[in-house]
Amino acid sequence: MTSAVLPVLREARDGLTRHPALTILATLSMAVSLYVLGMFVLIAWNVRLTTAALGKELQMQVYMRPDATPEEIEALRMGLRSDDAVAEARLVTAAEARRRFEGRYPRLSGLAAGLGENLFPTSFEVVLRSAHQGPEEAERLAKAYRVGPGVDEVRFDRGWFERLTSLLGFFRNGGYGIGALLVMAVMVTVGAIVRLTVMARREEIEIMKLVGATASFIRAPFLLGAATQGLAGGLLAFLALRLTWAMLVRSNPYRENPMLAMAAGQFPPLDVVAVLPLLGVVLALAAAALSLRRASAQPGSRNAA
Amino acid sequence: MIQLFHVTRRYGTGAPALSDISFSVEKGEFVFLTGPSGAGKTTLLRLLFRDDLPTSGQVMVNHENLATMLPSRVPYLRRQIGVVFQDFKLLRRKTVFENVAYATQVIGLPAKEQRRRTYQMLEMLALNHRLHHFPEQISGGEQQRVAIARALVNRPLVLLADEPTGNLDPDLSLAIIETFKEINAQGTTVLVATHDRALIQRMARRVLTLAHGQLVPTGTA
Repeated sequence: MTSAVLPVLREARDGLTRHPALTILATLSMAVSLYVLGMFVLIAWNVRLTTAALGKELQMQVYMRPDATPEEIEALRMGLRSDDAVAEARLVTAAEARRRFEGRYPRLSGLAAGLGENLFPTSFEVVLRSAHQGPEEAERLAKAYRVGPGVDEVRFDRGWFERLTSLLGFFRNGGYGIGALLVMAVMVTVGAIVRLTVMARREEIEIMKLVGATASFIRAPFLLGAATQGLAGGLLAFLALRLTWAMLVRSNPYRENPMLAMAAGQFPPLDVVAVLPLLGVVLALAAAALSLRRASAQPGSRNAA
Repeated sequence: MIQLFHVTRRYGTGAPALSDISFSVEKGEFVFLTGPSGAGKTTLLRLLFRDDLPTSGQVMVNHENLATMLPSRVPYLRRQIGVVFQDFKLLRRKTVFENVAYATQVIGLPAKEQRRRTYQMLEMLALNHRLHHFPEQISGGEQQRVAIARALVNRPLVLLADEPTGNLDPDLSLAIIETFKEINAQGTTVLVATHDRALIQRMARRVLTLAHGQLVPTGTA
């Protein structure tokens, strides 16, 4: 096993070190391409967090009648809990409602005391799941719960729903579209770099075949070399991204501009940014495999490596 | 060892590069393949190490039909055939030693055996002093000897040489052919393609003459 692995490792190493300038240039080019993708991942991650938070603003309030029984309240709570469209349903008791009112409007707390408990009915704050956040869906749910036992009224701001869901949809769909374009750009860039590297050694591949090297013997060092370059490019991109983010969050423009905080406030977790070196390896391997197949194909013969 | 039966190789719609070629070379023979430029010598040699396929006919090397051979078998065929080219075809990014040793790595020899065989072959071809040089740092004659060393290091059954002395002076050319003679004396079948008439006449071996893709009846030079 060792006698088979060592020559492959040596060949891969030689392929990378024989022309160090070319290797460094190729790796840096991959790194730049992956860095741009990484910036998108950083922004998209933060926008995702923001949209998730905004999504929680899409609430409807279900107000209970003053004479609603505890059983009716419990029944509604259970109903909301089991509803697929509902992400969260918070019970706001009359006492809690009163406390909120007095906290928001301290000058009116005397008025509230004079009018009695009935002023603050028991209610549920219902947050919808993202798939059900459209105004039509909210309307449908409101209609359904309006006729529930003990329910007095269901309220939601349709206009606010429409504006917010439109904004969230824009971010989500736009994000997917831009992300797809960037991934394609990275594929083209990394693919071109690796293909050029393999094509530059086409004559070498031919000679290897002539002395009786098998396809796997020829391919293995190239694939290993390409994977190494892809990994190095991805790691460099990750480090550059991390450094960029660290400098950004300490800068004055970041402190003064809330949009920047929204776009780049948090650095994505490791399992998200690990996509950079992983993508570097996968794309470099795929490009190398395809290029080797093309480099080995000869007209009039059937000797593909 | 080598048998061709009515072999034709045609490219496109023009005249065939090889037309109805039939001959055989016995084990241990030394044969010259001659003819003017464009006669089909290189085409014929390419068929013998399966770098090309005949349009029709059969090519047999060591009892194997090359036309029906699976692509995965081709590397193993080539390990039994040493090939020397006019342009040497050395790996530029490897030293003299590494170029020859590569052929032993390919067949999976243990590292110690790789080194032993490589040193032995380079010593036989008087290249001990060039082990760590790159091809661009040595002369044409030395490069050709490196190519020969690589072709022979795995003790092939057959040695094919395509104009091996094309880029060399007469004295060096003769030295190369003498080396081939020694290799042949050890049992390797040798087929040398050359248009150097003087060399052929000097060696007095069997000659196959090609002209316009066809074998011309001839005997020993």
